[in-house]
Order: sequence, then C-alpha cells, then structure tokens
Amino acid sequence: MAIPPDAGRPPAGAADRLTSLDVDAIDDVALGARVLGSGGGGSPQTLAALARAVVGASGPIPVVGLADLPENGVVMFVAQVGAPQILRERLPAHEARIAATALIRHLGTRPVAFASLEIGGSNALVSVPVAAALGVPIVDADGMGRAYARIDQTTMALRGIPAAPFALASPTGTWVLVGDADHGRAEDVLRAALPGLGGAAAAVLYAATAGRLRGAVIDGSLSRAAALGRVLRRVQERRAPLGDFLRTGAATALFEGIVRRIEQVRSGTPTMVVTAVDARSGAVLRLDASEEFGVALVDGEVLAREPDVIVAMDVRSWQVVMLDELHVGRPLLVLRLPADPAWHALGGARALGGARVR
Amino acid sequence: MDSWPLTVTVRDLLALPDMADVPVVAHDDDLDRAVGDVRVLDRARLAAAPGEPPPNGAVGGLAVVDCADGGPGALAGTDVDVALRAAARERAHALVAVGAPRLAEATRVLALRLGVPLLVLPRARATSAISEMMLQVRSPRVRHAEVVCAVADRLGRAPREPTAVLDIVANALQGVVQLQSGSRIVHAARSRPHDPAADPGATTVPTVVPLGEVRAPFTDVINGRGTAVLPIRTPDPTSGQLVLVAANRRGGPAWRSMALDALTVAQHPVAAWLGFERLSEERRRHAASAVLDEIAAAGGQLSAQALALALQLGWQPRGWHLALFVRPVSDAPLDLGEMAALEEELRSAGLPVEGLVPRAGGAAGWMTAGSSDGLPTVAATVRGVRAAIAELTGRGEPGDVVVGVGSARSGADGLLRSIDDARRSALLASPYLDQDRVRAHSGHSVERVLASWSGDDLARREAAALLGPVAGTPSEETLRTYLDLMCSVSATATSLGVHRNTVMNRLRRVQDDLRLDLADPATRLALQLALRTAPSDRR
Repeated sequence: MAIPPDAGRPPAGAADRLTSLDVDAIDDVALGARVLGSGGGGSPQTLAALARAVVGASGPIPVVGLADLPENGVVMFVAQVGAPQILRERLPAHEARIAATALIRHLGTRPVAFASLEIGGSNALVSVPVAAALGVPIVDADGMGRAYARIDQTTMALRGIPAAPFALASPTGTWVLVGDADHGRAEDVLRAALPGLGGAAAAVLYAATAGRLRGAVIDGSLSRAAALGRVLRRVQERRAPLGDFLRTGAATALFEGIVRRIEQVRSGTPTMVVTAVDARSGAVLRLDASEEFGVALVDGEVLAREPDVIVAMDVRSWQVVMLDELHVGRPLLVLRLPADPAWHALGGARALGGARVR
Repeated sequence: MDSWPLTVTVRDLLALPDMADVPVVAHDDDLDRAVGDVRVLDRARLAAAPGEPPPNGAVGGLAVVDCADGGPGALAGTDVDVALRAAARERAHALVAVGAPRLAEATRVLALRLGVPLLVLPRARATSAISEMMLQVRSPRVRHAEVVCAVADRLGRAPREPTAVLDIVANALQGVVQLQSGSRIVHAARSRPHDPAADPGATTVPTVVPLGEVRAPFTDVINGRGTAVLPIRTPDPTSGQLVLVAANRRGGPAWRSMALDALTVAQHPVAAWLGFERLSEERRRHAASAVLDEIAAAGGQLSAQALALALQLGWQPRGWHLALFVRPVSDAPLDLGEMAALEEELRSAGLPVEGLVPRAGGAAGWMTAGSSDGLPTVAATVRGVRAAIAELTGRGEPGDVVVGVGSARSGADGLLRSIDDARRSALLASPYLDQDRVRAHSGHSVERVLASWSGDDLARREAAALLGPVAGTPSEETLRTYLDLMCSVSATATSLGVHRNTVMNRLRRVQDDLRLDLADPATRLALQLALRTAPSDRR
C-alpha cells in the first residue's frame, strides 16, 4: 500500500452541507472532530456542551459558506490556544467574546461571520458561543482540516493571509492585542503572552474579508465533521457497517493489530512512537506523533503522512483513540483520511515539514 | 590452519575495531550471511517502487544509509524503517544506519521481521568504519595481513609479559584472548571498547573454553562465539597442556582465520615467558625445600641464616603450623603446574596454604598462625582438601594424588614434625578413587607401623611386583574388598554388587595369577599391605 499521489476527498455536495447547527448536529460535529483531530487536538466534549447550551438558549446557529457572504464582509477565526492540560480542566467562559470585542474595536468593523481555526479536536465548536453572542453565522470552513499545534499551520498562512492583528483573552477578562506580526512571529508572540493569561486563552485571529479567504480555507470542514460523526455514531451503535464510515471519509484502512509499545524517541524534537504488530501477518505499524499522529508506516512503507488525517480506532468499540488514550495491548484499526486537496494545491505538505510544538 | 576465507560475513564486519560496540538488531543466524559488497542506499533507491529490480551487484551486499537528512516532510527516525524495507527489497544482507537516532521498538521489530540485520553506526565513526568494512569485504586478505602484521610489529616492541602480549592481540582482534591450562584461565585480556556503555557484551568476557586434548590449531564457533584455539609448545614437555584462545561473539570465519594467525604470532613470546617463569618458579620452590633441609639437618633448630632465608620466603617459622603432604599415587613427581593448581584450589577452599615445597615422595605445604587457635582445625582442613581434590578431579587435573594432614605444632621443629605427620598420613591414605583420598594424622602406633612399611621404597617396589599380574583388573578390586571386609565372600559380593560366585571365581583367578594361597594368613597380610602401598594407577 502506498499513498496515492493525488489522493483527496471528494468535495461535499450541496445536499451534504450543514445550513444550521442544532443540538444533534453539534454532537455529530464533536464526534467528527475527534476523527479529524488525527489523535490530537484535545477533546471536543467541553466546548460541545457549551455549544449545546448556547443553541438551547438562542436556537440553532446558521451555518454559511464563504460564497454566501458579502465580498467585503470580514470573517474572524476563533481558537482556544495554550497548554492542553489547562484547556482540559478550565471551563471556558466569555473569553472568546472579549477577544473578539477587542479585535472589533481595533479594526473598527464587525465581522459578518466567525469560523473555527481548526476542525480537529476541541476547537471545532469554539466559534459557536461568540457567533451566537454577536448574532452572526458561523462559516462551514476552517484553516486546517484537521488539528495542528501552531496558529501558523493553516492554509490561510500558505496563501499569505496574516494571523495578526489578533486578540487574546483569558477568562478573567485580561486581553492582549497584537497589531502586526508575520506568521512565525505571531506564533512566538502568542506563546510569550500565554503565561500571563494563565497558560491558555481564547484567540480571535486571521480577520480577513470573505473575498480574500475564498480558496484559502478548508471549505466544508464543518459539514465534513458532521457527516463523519453521524456515520461513525451509527457504526458504533452497530446500525451501519464500518464501510459506510470509510466511504464517507474516503478513508483507507492501513493496519489492524495490537499496540506493543509506546515510547518517546528524541531526535531533534521529542516524538512519541507507537509500535503495533498484527499477530496474524506479523506486519509492524510505526506511528510517529508529536501532538497528533504525523506519519504511519507499515513494514517500513510510509502509508500516511500529515496533512493526511491518521485515525486510530479501537476495533472492539470503534471508538476514536486519541494519542493520550493509547496503551499497550489495545487493539487498533488505523485509517488514513486523505488531506483536503487545498493543502496540496497550496504546497502545504512541503511547508509542514518544520518543527511543531503545541 | 584454515585456508584463506573466500567469504566475509556480517559477523566479521561487527568484529572490526570501529564496529565492535555498535548496537545490532538481528537474529543470530542472519549474522552468518556472506557480504558481497558495500554500497550506499541513496534516496532514489529508498524511494524505488516495490517491484523494481535491485541494481547489479546489490544482492547480498551491505547497504549503508545516512539517516541524518530526514528530507522534506520526513519525521526523524522513520528513515531507518524505510531503509530497512528498501534493503530487504534489494536483498541486502545487512543495513548500516549512519547517525540514526535511538531505535524505536517498531524499527527493531521490523529489522527482525524482514531478516535484515541492522547496525547503527555513530556519525563520528562513519568514515573510518565504512572504509574498514569496504577493505574487509573487498580485500579480506589485505585486512587479514594488516592485522597480523600489526600484532607482530607491536609484539616486537612490547614487553614480553603474557598480559601485555595478550592485551596487544586482544586489541588487534577486538575480542578476548586468554591463556588456558586445562580448564583454568591463566591470563586473559579484553579489547578496550570504543564506548563501554554502548554494548558491554559486544566482545566477550573471558570464559573457560571447554576443550579436550588439542593436538592442532583450529577455529570453530564455541558457545556461540567465534573462537580460535592454538596449542602452545612449551619448553617443558611435562607441564600440562596450554592453549591460546581468542574469542569474539561477533567473530565470523574471516575473523577466526585472522585470530588464529595472530595467535600463531603471539605464541612465541608467550612460550618464552612460560619457560622463564618455570625456571624462576622451580628456583623458588627448591630454595624453600633447601631451607627445610637445613632446619632438619640442624635437628629442628633455626640458625640465623636459616631464619633469614625463611623470612625472605615470607615464612613465620616461630609460629604455629599445620602441614599437608601431597603424595602422587604414581611415582612420577608433581610438576609445577599441578602444584600451582592445587595451591589455588586449596586457597579457594579457605585454606591459606604457603606455596607447596617439593619433598621426597611428594610436596609439603602448611598454614601458619601466631597461635594454635588461629589455625583451621584438622577436620576443617580435611574437608577443605577434599573439596579442592574433588574440584580438580572434576576438571581432570592434576595427576592422581592423595593428601595427608598433620597435626598443629609450634616452632621450626614443630613445622618439620607436622610435615612428617602429614607425610605418614599421606602414605596411608587410600589411592583408590572410590575411597577417601585425604587422611588426617592420628598419632596411633598402628599408623606409625604402617607408615614405616608404606614409606619404604623397597617395600613399595616389591608390592608392585607382587600385584603386577592383577593390577588394574576387577580381580584386584575384588581382592582388596575381600581383605578389607574380613575375608567375607558375601560381604564382598554385596559391596561390589555382584554374585558371590563371581567373587569366588575372581579370588580363584587371583590365586592362579599370583600363584598364592589365600588360605595362608601370611599371604593375606602381605597382599593387604601391598594393596595399600603399590604405586600403580588405581583408576
């Protein structure tokens, strides 16, 4: 098995598009976000609960495509950034709204919509509360199509759209505004500010017009997450075969076997290496990860590599297994979901070769 | 001696100086595959399609891959896995990964699964190691000659002590080299590893190589280690067999052949040293014997000169002494090797015996303390001697001996008397393997009478002549048992586990062969005395 050079998922049809986010759709997106987290990105459960509460109070949130927005209408991206342990334990409050307010004041213009910066993991639904609070829709797109650890690992950055100006805010109301910074510097400044904000913060960034963003984002990612989540739930409930899920995600099964060892191998950057063996054939899986699964080899052949999404599933329950949920002896099915074609079109696979630290 | 090897195996490459301690992941059998060439596995080959045939000359080669440059989009570490797959596809017999990071479990499992031995070479050593490997693979004769000549050159300039000689050879061969006498290691040396923490077992620890009688040099794989064995011709033909042994867990056929030639070069200084050592040892032991003679000649008195000589030898003649006397069953004197081996075992058994001193009929040794309480008891000494003899007998050395243990006595005169007690006890100790070969002094008159008889050379010769026709036969054993068991045929049959008619037949044969009548009491007495003293091989 080798990676097809021009692999890509089929574009979502108009009929598959989400038009609004209700409680059921939120659950689907949350489960799909676990899939698209590629083993990382954090758990979407907390922000999904917050989104359900928001939708329960104010009704379904409209979901729009970039094409539905006015050319000059500004779209802002939202993310929770910082230490994963803090993000896991600290409940979000109104920090995204505070950051958005700060950026709106700085720019002197209100956004026509918000979007999540990354669809993989906990950030998939981060834009819902702030969009509901400002009464604007959310965009069916993100900047990654999966989970990544840095704010500059986006298709917008590849297109030359800067992250700055951006605003950061903590739940206590402290906020920071960064007026200008290039891509690499924006990440550095953000990391420098985080300790003062309690180790984690809401970020509102990549403010750009809809016209400029067209072709520079992963289009339809919210719908994709919802579709994946919807089918996966049916598979987990034994109401649909796994094949349905594979078809929905254009996924390829790479390996099935038992985890034999999880170890940290330091070579420049610390890398977690997962070794699993297929007892029937003897095939050996090597799964390398820093914050997310980055590359999968079976018997020495690279079968998946970021920005592909690599998914580990427990074959007993079809639960998606995150990197920190792996343990020796766990039976796994490893899948490859091809990266969004936008990554390849923008040369992103090459650009992602650098060090990545969340 | 082996002919020149036509092939070089992966194991041979691992024995090279720059490779000796590099980590290896492989099934042991896979290390014995021949290596035809060394070549670099470049990026194009790594990325070749699975069905693409290997380039000419690639099959059976040693593939080398540089893992430092991960390449665009690659995560460090996975390159080794990719290279292993490429090496397997190209049917390489091993992969050398230069500068690879610490191997992940997946990489190790993959190397074993694909059957491609994986050698992880530090970057700092890459150039020299790869050039060494190329020389070994492409010109094994040159490499062979290079090492053997280097050994000869260094031996020509080095001190001739065996430890220095063995050290030179061990470092040249990157293995362990030892001088072995029977099942005892006399001297050993190990090569110095590049990085002792990397793989401390890479060469070999000195371990006794189980050898029978070695008539000619040979090489083999012994206990999983490539081994070369060379018997040494010593100046003294009576000394036990000495062999030089070189071993390396990673020594393939080329290494073994090279090791044997290096040992051949090294044997001459070792043999010369052994001859010199033997002369010195003989001089020392005979000087000690002369001091005992001088004390005896002075009637047990210690002259100033004798005292000076005794102190020079490290003795404390005025202390308390407990002596042993070692008597060879045959009339052949104990040689130096046997004495040294016995001394070592006695000390291992907790008996701090001074060096054995040659005396008429055997060798004497003793323990000295400031008071009698400081000496081991006679019973503890007997137990220790039994343990030492059992250990030596188990290893097939030394020659057949019995040991007498004297009584504790003080002063120079006491030393002589303790030795004499031990000597008389040794004369009465049974020479038969199935009986106790250690006897303690009892001081009883019977012992003195029997010792007088056993110690008389003429009596010993007559006894041997008397028993000659039945010596070493079942009839001799039957006769001894019969006489020891008060001439009871039934008891003899029970003791030997044979039918009483068999005993009767054997005794009849003894009478026929010796032309004697066992009904005569004087005949029985003479035969019993003869059986206790005859210096024949009683095995």
